[in-house]
Amino acid sequence: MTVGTQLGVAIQNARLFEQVRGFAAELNLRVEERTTELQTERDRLDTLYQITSELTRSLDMERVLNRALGMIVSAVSADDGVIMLLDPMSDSLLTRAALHPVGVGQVHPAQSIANYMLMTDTGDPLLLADHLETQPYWDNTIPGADAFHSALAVLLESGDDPQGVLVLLSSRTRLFTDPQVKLVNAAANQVAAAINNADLYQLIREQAESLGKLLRTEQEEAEKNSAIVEGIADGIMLADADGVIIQFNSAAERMLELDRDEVVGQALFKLTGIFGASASRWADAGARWSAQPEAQPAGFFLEEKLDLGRRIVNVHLSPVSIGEQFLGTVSVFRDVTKEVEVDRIKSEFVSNVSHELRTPMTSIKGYADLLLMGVAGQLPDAQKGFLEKIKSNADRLSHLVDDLLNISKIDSGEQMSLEMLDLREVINSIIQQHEQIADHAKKNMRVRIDVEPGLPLIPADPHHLKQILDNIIDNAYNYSYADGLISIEAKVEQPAGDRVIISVKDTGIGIPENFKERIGGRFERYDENALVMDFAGTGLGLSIVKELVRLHNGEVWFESEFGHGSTFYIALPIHQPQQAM
Amino acid sequence: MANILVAEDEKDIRELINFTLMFAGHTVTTAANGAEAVELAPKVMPDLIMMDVRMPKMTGYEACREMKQNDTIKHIPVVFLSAKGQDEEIQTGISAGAVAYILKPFAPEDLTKQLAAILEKHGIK
Repeated sequence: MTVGTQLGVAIQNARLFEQVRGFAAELNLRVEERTTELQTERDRLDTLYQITSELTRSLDMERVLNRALGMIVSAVSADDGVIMLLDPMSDSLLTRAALHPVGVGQVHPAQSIANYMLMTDTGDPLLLADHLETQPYWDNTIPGADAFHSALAVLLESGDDPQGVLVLLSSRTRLFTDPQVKLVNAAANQVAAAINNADLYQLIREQAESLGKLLRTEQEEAEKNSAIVEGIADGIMLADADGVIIQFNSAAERMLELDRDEVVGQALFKLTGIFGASASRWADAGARWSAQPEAQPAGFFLEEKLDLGRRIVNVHLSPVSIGEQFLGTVSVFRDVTKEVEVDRIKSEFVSNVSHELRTPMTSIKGYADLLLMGVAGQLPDAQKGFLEKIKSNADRLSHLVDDLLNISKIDSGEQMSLEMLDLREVINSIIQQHEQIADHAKKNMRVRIDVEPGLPLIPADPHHLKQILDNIIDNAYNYSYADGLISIEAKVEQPAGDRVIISVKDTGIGIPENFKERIGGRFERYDENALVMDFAGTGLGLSIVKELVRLHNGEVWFESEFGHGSTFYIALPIHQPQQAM
Repeated sequence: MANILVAEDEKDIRELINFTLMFAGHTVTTAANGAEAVELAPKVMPDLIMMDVRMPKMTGYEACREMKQNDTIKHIPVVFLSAKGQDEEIQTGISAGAVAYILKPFAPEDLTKQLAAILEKHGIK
C-alpha cells in the first residue's frame, strides 16, 4: 500500500466520514423538524380542542365568542381579532366579539375586509392577505387600519348561508403560516357551529317563552270566563262539540238540584232521563246540534219549560260557534216558578172576574129581552126604546168581558196549537153564524165569498183563526149601513206564493184619515159616528186581531176611504217556521 | 112541548130561564143546585135537563156525571148553560156527558131556538 494510496484512502475516509456526519446532521435536523412539526400539529389540535370545548361549554354567545376569539388570536400570535355577525334586521355585519373593541360609533379596522368577504362571492371561504395597504378591500382610512399589514379572514357559514366573518390581523407581513391557516379554518367551523347552536337555542327558548306566555294568558282567560259563568245568577250549562257537558255553574246546580260532579263529563242526552219528558226536546236538540252542527240554521235556539215538580225552569238552548266552527251548546236556565204562578193567579183572577160579571149581565140582558118580547105584557114604544138601550149597553159590557178574557189569554202567552185548516170552511161557518145574529140579520147585508180554487190548507190555531175572522167580519157588519156588501176573498199572495191573503171589504163608513194611526190600539174606537155608537163595541177587537195574527207570524193591514168603506187584509204564512227541534 | 128540569143557583137567572122556557111553551121544574137536580130528576123524569156549572153543594159537572151513572135517567139529554166559557171548561162539560154547552149571557130568543134544535135532534116533540 503506498502512501499515496493510503492518503487516498484517508482522504476517501475523511470524505465518507464527512458525508456520514453530514447525513447524521441532516437526519438530526430532519428529526428535529419533524418533531417540531408534530409538536405544532399537536399544539394546533390542542388549541382546537380547547376552543371547541370552550365553544360548547356555554350557550351564552357573547362570552363564548370572546373567549374563543382570544384563544384563536393567541394561538396564531395575531395582534387583533374580531368576529362580526350578520344582523338579519339591518342586513349588515355587526361586531360581536373583538380583542380590542372599538368605541361606540367607531368602525373596526377589519370592517372593510369583513364586508368584502361577505359581499363578494369569491368561492373561497378563506382569504389570506398581505400588504394590506395595497389591497382594494382594505380601507386604510379607518382609524387604526394602517397598523396592520396582514390579515386572515374566514367566512362563518351555517349550511350554505353566511353568518358572519372571523378576521385576524397582524402588524407584520407574512405572519400566517399554513398550519395556522388550517387551525383558524377549523376553529372558524367550530365557531360557526356554536353560533348556529346558540341561535337555535335562542329561537327555541323564545318560542318556549312565548308559548308559555300564551298558555298562561289562555289559562287566565279560561279562568276568568269560568269565574264569570260561575257568578251569573242564571243557571249555565256548557256542552262541548261532542255533546259532553263541560261546565255547570252553581246557579244551575241549585235550580236543577244536581251536583256538578254528577253532570260534568256526562253526555247531554242523558239528562233526558233525569228530567223526564219535558226535557227530552231540549236535550235532544242539544245532542242533534252536536251531531250535525252544519245542518242547524244559524241563529236558532230552543226555548223550553222544564217542569221539575217543585219548580219550573225555563231553558234556553243555543249553539255556540266561531265562524263556521261549532264549539258546542250553551243552556241557560232561569227559575220561572214565580212567574208561572203569578200568570196562573192572574188568569184565574180574570176568569173568575169575568164569570162574576157575566152572571148579573145575564139577568140584565135576559130580563130586558123578556120585557121586549112582551112576556110581561105589551110595552109602549118609549119604554121599548129605553129597554133597547139597556140591552145594547149590556151587550157592550159582555163583549168587553169576552175581549178582556181573550187579551188576558194572549198576554199570558197562551200556547198555539196549529192545525191545517181549510179557509173556505172556516169563512163559511163564520158567515153562517153572523147571519144568525139578530142585529146583523136586520141589516140585510149581501155577502160574497171568493176563495181561490186550490187554495192550500194553512197552519193556524183554529180557535185563534176563528177569533181573527170573527172580529174583522163583525166590524164589517157593524160599521156598514143596511143593504151593504161584504166581500171576502182568500188567495195566495203573488208573486211570492208563501202567504195567503184574506181580505174583508165592506161598503161601510170607512176610517177617517186622522184616526187611521190609532186603529188597532187597545180601547181605540172611532166614536164620532152615530152608527159606531149604535152597537156594542169595545175597541179591543182589532188589537186582539193584531196580536193573534202576530202570533201566527202574519200581518194585518187595511185600506180605507172615509165614507166609502174599508178593506182589511190578513196575511198568514202557508208554512209556519219549524220550531227548532 | 117538553118537560125541562133546570138547575141554577142564582135565583134571578133561574127565574129568567123559567120565564123564557115557559114563554116558549115548555113545562119547567127548577132546582137550586146539582144535588137537588140529581134528586129531582128520577121523580120528574124530564125530557131534558139544563144545568149551570158552578153551583153550591154539587157542581153541574158532578151532577151530570152522577146522572149518567143512574140507569133510570142516564138517557135524558143534559145541556149546560154556563158563564164559564174557556175551552177546557166546555171540554169538561162535554166529557161529563152533556149534549150541548150554551154560554151565558144568552138572549132568551136565541136560547129558545137552540133548545128547539137540541130537542128536535133528540126526537123530543
